[in-house]
Amino acid sequence: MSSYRFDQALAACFLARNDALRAVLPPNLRPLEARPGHGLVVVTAFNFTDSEVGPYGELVMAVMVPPFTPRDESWPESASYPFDLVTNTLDSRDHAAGSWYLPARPKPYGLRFSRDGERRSVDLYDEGTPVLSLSVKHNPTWERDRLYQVFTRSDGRLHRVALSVEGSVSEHNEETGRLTLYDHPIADRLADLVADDEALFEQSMDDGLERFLGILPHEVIA
Amino acid sequence: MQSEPSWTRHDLSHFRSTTGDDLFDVHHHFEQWSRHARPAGYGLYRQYLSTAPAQRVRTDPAGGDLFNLASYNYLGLSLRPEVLAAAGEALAHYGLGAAGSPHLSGLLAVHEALADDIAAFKGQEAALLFPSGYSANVGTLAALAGPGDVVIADICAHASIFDGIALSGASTVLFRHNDMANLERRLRAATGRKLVVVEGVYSMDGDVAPLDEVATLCQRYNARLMVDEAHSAFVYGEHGRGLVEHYGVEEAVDIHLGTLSKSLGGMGGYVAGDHTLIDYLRAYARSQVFSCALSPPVVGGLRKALELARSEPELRQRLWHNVAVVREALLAEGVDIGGSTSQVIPIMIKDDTGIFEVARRLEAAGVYLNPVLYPAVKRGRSRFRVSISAAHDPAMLVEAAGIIGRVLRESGVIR
Repeated sequence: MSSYRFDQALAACFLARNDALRAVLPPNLRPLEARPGHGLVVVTAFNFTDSEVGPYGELVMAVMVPPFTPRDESWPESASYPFDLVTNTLDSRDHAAGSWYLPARPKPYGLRFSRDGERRSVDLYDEGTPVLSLSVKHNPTWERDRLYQVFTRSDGRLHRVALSVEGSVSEHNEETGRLTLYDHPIADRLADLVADDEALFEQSMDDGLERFLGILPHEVIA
Repeated sequence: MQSEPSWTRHDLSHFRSTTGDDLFDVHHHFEQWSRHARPAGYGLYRQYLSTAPAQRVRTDPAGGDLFNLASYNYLGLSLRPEVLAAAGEALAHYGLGAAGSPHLSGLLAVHEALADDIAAFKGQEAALLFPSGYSANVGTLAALAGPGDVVIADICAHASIFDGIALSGASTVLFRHNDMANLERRLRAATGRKLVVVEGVYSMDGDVAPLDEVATLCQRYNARLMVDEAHSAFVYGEHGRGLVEHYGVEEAVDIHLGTLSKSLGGMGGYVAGDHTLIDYLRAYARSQVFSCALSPPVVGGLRKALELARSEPELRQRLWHNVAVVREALLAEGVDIGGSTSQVIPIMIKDDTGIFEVARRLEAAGVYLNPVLYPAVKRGRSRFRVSISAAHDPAMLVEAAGIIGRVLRESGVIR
């Protein structure tokens, strides 16, 4: 089990058309239908202060998918399939790709986390050039400890990763989250998917702990 | 900061979409969740009335009367003696059921008479009855749109609209609630044949669609327009023809859809429009083709209810007077009623966990209201939905508003 302590995390879900999402997903997975004909792209960023590869920042772009829920397993909060991931250190990049088969980009990117009143934001840079900005509204928080499922792929196979996140969480769907995309291939890919740059659902956390609980081989990709 | 109760880790939205080896595995998880959620408050959704849904109701037959602010019945017609008598006559004449599809033996003279009445009332060439408002939306959209078409709908539109679009195979495009700039962006981007679908009054917030602006945009971008007036037909407009009359856009709307269960106090749905549209739907709207026709006593009662709605404009005046009375009383109590401008008035609680306890306290204090929370509304936007009727006594509404204010203060929702 790997543990990652963070001082700030934020996430926002954006509506995306199902046909666009299916092009990103392996054929075994389908988008979670959030609105008719629409699924969700979730952009999540963590500022890790302590981990087995030291402090680092991470931004993940994923598609929400239905969880895999056999009777004898706990029901996760949600499930997702990450299709793009950036970190700001090479060690963390190698760790994400090597241990969890996450689709980490090969070089480090710049990540800047900020807090301004009730706003929490992250800016992603590629050698100083802005790629995207994500901003969410931070509301009063609840103490939570939740289970998540993440599907990753390698060598023609899907893997099912179980992870938990605990900490004080703000979550709402007040449609106050904003995604700003600049002229960059990472942003272009998101722009092709996202149908609305206003967040349908947004989350932010202070001082929490993410635990990777394990990885299981799931299915051979059809 | 509070710790999360175990049942709030999940909600009804979680158990809808899943994968696994056995189709029924999800039932196990749902039951595990329900075991905690029911006693915490979700059990209220199983609560039934032991009386008619009149101005005063009982849940427990041996309990006390409760002020009923939860039932539709906007014009107070469902219990009018003339309506009950007409229903009784139809029952005696036709029996309980139509005993067939409207395409076969189920089409009775009383059905055709009601459809003609509705068409005449709406100022349209023809109308078609459906078993429910839900089936009217599903059947109409599935019949009219298809793969390659684009249906652009308000994101807060009723589930039946989205189910109809999904069944049609058309592309669903959403625009932000009542956001005309966003609708225009969607219309500009859409290619192919376009249909815009909006409601008149939105049932969770009680706000209304700016139909004049919607109609203008549809004309500008060559899109057909369908308006679901489930909550606005028979109550809006000088003659009660709905928000389309209120906004003066009756001619600009291609498909007039509504229900017979709310203002008229019966059940069923209708679509009104050109006779070519109605003839087409009669043949291809599968939700009515393959359903039994509406029960004759209901239809008989509805004919009388419609007659009263037309001949007694004072019903609408009484309704709007009651709406003004209760709005003023609730606002004086400091209750947050959101952006409602209609007879549907949300009482914002915004505590998705605590709303059930407030519901219990309200019932104990003598007010019957239903909690509404995620996923029916956004997280953190839970509320009670008040439905005002012409049948309400204004003094009762003031008293009920006072009770609501007191309970919300005692519960810490308002100061």
